[in-house]
Amino acid sequence: MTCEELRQYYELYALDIAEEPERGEIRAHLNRGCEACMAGVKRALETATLIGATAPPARPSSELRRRILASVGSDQRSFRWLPVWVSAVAMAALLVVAVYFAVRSRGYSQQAASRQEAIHIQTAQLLQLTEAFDIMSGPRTTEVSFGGSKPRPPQGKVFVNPNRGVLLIASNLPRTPADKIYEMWLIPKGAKPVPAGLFQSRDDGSALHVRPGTVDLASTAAVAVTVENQAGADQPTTTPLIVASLAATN
Amino acid sequence: MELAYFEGLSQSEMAIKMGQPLGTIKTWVRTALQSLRDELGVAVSS
Repeated sequence: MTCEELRQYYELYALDIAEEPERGEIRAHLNRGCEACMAGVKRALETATLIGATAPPARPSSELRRRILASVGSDQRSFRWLPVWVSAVAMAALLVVAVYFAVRSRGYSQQAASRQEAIHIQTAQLLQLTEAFDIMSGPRTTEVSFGGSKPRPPQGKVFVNPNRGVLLIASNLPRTPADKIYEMWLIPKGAKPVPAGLFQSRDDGSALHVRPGTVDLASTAAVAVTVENQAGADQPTTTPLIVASLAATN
Repeated sequence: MELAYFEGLSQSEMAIKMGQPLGTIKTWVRTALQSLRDELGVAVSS
């Protein structure tokens, strides 16, 4: 057959659906280096390639995927999900670990808060002791005792420094009701008592209270302590438990 | 063309599947390929 006669069969040959005798004739032409047939078959192969591009995209089935993986010797088991119970156990373990660390973290936070509060209390106590020491050690400090003549009265001392303030050290203080607190007063001569701070006694009935700041010793008649409501009062509402007279020092 | 290209059937198998004479199938295939060659020729030559 001539090249012209074979021309219409190039595409069939490229698609490998040419029948005999055309297929044999084209192969014979190609084997002997027929340039016309070689160029024609080359174009037909390119056309056949483009035909493939006209197909709509298709999603391969899972069965095709399995066959392809099997053909390359891949183990399908490695691609499968873990059994449900394994995942459930893993999730439960993670949950237990998460709860454990959450509880532990909360415990640490509470400990840190508790220690911070203790540090604040100790800092305040240290500051109070420093102020008390300053008053006691001051060169112009006046010292007055109180409660010495009663059978089980509150007893103690009051230290007054004109420049540093007033220090009260007491013992035998009765426990106040839950909604009450002790309040110290500076009582001027011929004038109303002036509030000098709130304080609570310790479990053993002792107390240390400081009212820092200047004090006009010449115009102050006494230092007193009453029991008041938790918020304190502008003026005493109960009979003083402690009265330390400063009259002898003026 | 779908039978030939995507399913890999020979012209004889297409004739059996479509219930047509082999000569008719050959004519249809040649005509279809001729049309494709004309349509895709520009892309091929470029």
